Amino acid sequence: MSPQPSKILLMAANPEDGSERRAPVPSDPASRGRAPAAKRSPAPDPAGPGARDQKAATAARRRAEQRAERITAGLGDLELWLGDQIRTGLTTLKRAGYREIDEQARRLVDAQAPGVAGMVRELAGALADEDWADRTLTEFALLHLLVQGWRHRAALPDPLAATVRRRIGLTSTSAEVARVGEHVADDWLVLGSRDTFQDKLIERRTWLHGRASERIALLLSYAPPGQSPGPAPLVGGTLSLELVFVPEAAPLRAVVLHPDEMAAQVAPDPDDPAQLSQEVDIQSPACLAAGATLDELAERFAATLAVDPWTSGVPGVVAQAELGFDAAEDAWWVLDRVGSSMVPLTVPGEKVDRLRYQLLAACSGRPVALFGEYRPSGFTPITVFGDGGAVSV
Amino acid sequence: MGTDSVAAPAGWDELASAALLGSQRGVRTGSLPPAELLDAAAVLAVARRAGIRPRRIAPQDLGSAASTPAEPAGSETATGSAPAQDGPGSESGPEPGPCASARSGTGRLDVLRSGFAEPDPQTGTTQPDTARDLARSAPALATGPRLTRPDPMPVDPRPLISPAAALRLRAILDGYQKYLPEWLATARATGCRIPPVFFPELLDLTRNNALIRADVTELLGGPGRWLAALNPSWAFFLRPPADPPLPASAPVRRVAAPVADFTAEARRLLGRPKNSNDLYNLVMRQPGLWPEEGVRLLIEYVAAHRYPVVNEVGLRIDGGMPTARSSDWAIEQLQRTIGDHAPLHLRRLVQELLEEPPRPGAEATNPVVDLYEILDALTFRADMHEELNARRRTPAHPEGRSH
Repeated sequence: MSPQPSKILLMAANPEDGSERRAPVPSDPASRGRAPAAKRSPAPDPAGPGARDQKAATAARRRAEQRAERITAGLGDLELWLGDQIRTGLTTLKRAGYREIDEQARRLVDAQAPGVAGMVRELAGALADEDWADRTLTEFALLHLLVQGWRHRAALPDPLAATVRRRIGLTSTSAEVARVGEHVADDWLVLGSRDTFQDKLIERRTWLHGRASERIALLLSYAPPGQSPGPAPLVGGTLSLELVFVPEAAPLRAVVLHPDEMAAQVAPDPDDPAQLSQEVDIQSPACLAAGATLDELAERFAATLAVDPWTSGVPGVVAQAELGFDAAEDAWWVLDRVGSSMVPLTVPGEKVDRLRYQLLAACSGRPVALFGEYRPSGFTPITVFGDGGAVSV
Repeated sequence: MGTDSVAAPAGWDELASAALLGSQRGVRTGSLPPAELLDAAAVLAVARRAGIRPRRIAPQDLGSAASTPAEPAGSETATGSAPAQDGPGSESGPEPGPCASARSGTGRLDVLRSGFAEPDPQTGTTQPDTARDLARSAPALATGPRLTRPDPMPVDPRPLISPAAALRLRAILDGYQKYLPEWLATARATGCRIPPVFFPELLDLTRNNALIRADVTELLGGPGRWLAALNPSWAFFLRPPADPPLPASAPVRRVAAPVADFTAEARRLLGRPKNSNDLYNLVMRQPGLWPEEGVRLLIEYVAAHRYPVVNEVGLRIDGGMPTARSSDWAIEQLQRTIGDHAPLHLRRLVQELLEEPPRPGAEATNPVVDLYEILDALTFRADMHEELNARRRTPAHPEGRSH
């Protein structure tokens, strides 16, 4: 492993060491603001956009610079706050309760750094944990690392700088991603789909696996409460799409280059009985090709951490998974029959028991292909490719 | 901040201790500036997470292919579910390895310190040998869990319902449970089976609804009994159903039996000029699907209430019958009930009524009845049947898989 934290910290210590740096990504408003003047204000091209477009571009750049300044100021405050807490001791913070954390998170929202605000809010959960000291220090350390990453983003490699921006909360438009990202056309197996309610929005996560590229992609879509993010792709089905991966240190997120093509494939023709009765071939090579062992997922997670230290988990398919129950600890485990290893089963939400039994039923007591997220704390199943076809849990 | 801090000699425990008490009071770290402490903690935190590996499965970890089914979480009758072959601390225990503890469902990271080697702060790598040595020195912690696995679910040779039908069942369970009995009856008639992932919810619902018990029992079959045997809450499912399904004292039995000639009674009530809920009571007591003639009357009656002005004029129903006047509440209930119970081919009639131009004098008034609501419900049910029956109409479809 080549720990990226060390790299970030080393670059923080030696900001002039920018040997790995390449041209800034176009979607990086902050870096653009720091670029040489010649790059910031290219000479007007007679054949280029008109004066009106230039004016709009200048205004957009100014807004981006202002946002970057706000973020820098907000993260500066956060750094001071983190230092104060470490200086006085985390026990003091634990006694202070949620209010102080919430206040800090609000400031970061005002500073237009929603990603960091979310990380700060997670401190409340860390402080309430049984292993709160370790968890809180870990969260503090990752926040500190993110602050350093933002401060020295100009010296970071482009992919890592892009990751820092995304973790801060700066997003790129689909058009920007399409311009600079890696294009991959493939037949994509829909590994899983999950809707969650976050930040007053419905967030849909759809994971795909490329048949030829053998890459996993994550599509995100959002909708306001009460509305749908659109037709959900059939889990276990296949979509022929050209995706563009967001250029990051560990490319996972992607956008669909031609959304209309996806919409046409996602919505089945209700007048076609063959489509309605279409069944997913869970034994297809495409599905099995996505399979891995738990050890391989652990390796993949470690490798991802090496380039993106804020990663919380990696998606993957355990090719031959079973469930085991530890009565003494009232705990469930995911067993990998190929790799002869096991990790705890982690189930989010409140209806833990029902989800466990859903999973047990879907697995039917036999080894199945299980798609989910591998984390250090265990494996969170999302889709079971079992006797009942591809089913979301 | 300097690079020296990255290679700080302090280990994680020392850093955590210093952070806990205050960076200036660290026992072994001495007075360490917060930034340097966080620098070192960042490297170690990432290396620690990267170093966590799955636990090796040893034969001792597993039950004997579970002749005894797994006991449910929180069960008070967990006897026999932990086929311990070697007690904790046994020398023949599982091979120790770094892992997270199995406090599943909570997502808590609880690293067993005995099984985790501190990574080298320079390289960020762990040292498996050190981890193994540490684990062996603390055998009580290093002993793995005693796992039980259930027997394999019995094979159900029936074909599986289509994915579209499964999605519809998901939608019904999530928000349209009033259509569940009809869906179950239709699915049962197709001779298909349903994905096991739905079993827990259906078993929970069946516990409190004896009316769907027969359909659920048939649809879930042996696999359903297999799952019910794993959870004491579903023990009722293993017992033979009571006959009759409802006790005679149930409230639903105390109301008058449905009239034999539903259509005649509906026509009679429609002809009464007084505002009354009798019509609503009649339709609510009618079990199952209604006779087409009677439903036609009701649909036209509801359609007549779209425009109040028409109400005053009076809509000709079945040869000059005067229009009854009902409360908005009764009308609303009526239209919902029609949508939920009417024969599906009457959807066309609703469609035709919707396409009718407004009656003279009614253009400026607001509709009080929404025929679209009836149409939506009928369409939902029609799609439901279509999805379930599509498989039967697709001759080229292969037989359902079974393991």
